[in-house]
Amino acid sequence: MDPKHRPNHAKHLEVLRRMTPAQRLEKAFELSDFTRELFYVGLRKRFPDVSEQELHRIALARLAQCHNRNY
Amino acid sequence: MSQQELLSRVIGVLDGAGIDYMMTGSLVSSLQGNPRATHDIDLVVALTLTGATAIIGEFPPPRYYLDELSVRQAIARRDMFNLLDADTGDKVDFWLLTDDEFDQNRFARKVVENVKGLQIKMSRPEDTILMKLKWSAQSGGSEKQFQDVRSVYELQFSSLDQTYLDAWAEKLGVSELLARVRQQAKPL
Repeated sequence: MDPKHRPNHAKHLEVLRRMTPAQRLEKAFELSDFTRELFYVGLRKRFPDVSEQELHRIALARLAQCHNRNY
Repeated sequence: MSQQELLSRVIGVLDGAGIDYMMTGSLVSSLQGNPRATHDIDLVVALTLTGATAIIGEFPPPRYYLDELSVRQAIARRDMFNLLDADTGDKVDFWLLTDDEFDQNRFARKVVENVKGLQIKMSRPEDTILMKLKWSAQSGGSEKQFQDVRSVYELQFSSLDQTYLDAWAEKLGVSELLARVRQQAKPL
């Protein structure tokens, strides 16, 4: 059950349908890139004193936990 | 235009029009916890009819889809409307700030984060957790929301105000879910 009502959902689907499969995939990559950038900003704030290498290690450990359970 | 550019443009318009806002949702949990891609930019806005006119004028068709009537109805009903980028499918959900005690409280506590030179007002980690638990409860136990919460809890654990979390979880009826988060979390 989705408690959020979704105004313009049909319009949104229409926009996505107009895009080519390649454009949709490119968009998925871009969205993924942006959230990963946000993630690194947050990690740096959380661990201000660790080296880049250590931050990268922490990030990889966290990213390893990110997977869908519905693949 | 990328999602990031749309976010920057929307924030620029809101700031320019003096409309207070707070980003919430999965973009914020991506910064405070683990990343999860989403088409939606979620913003809580303190919007009036005057401010609405400014927003509507800045996002004209055909590039954008923003229904003026929906905006005015959302303001009257204090619920939500959205803005669609018709080229990229990116979407901004504008949630009207309500008089609800939690809504007012989390909005008043918002923080400013610098993301690649962009100053973004966003919810504090405790409020990100509580709101996602609320959505999770309302959706009959959304695993997606729950995983977002768990990641924020784990990463922000050392600075979380646990007393605040407990008090609001009780008020919002999500204490059991919070207990489950604590049980499953492996704090950093």
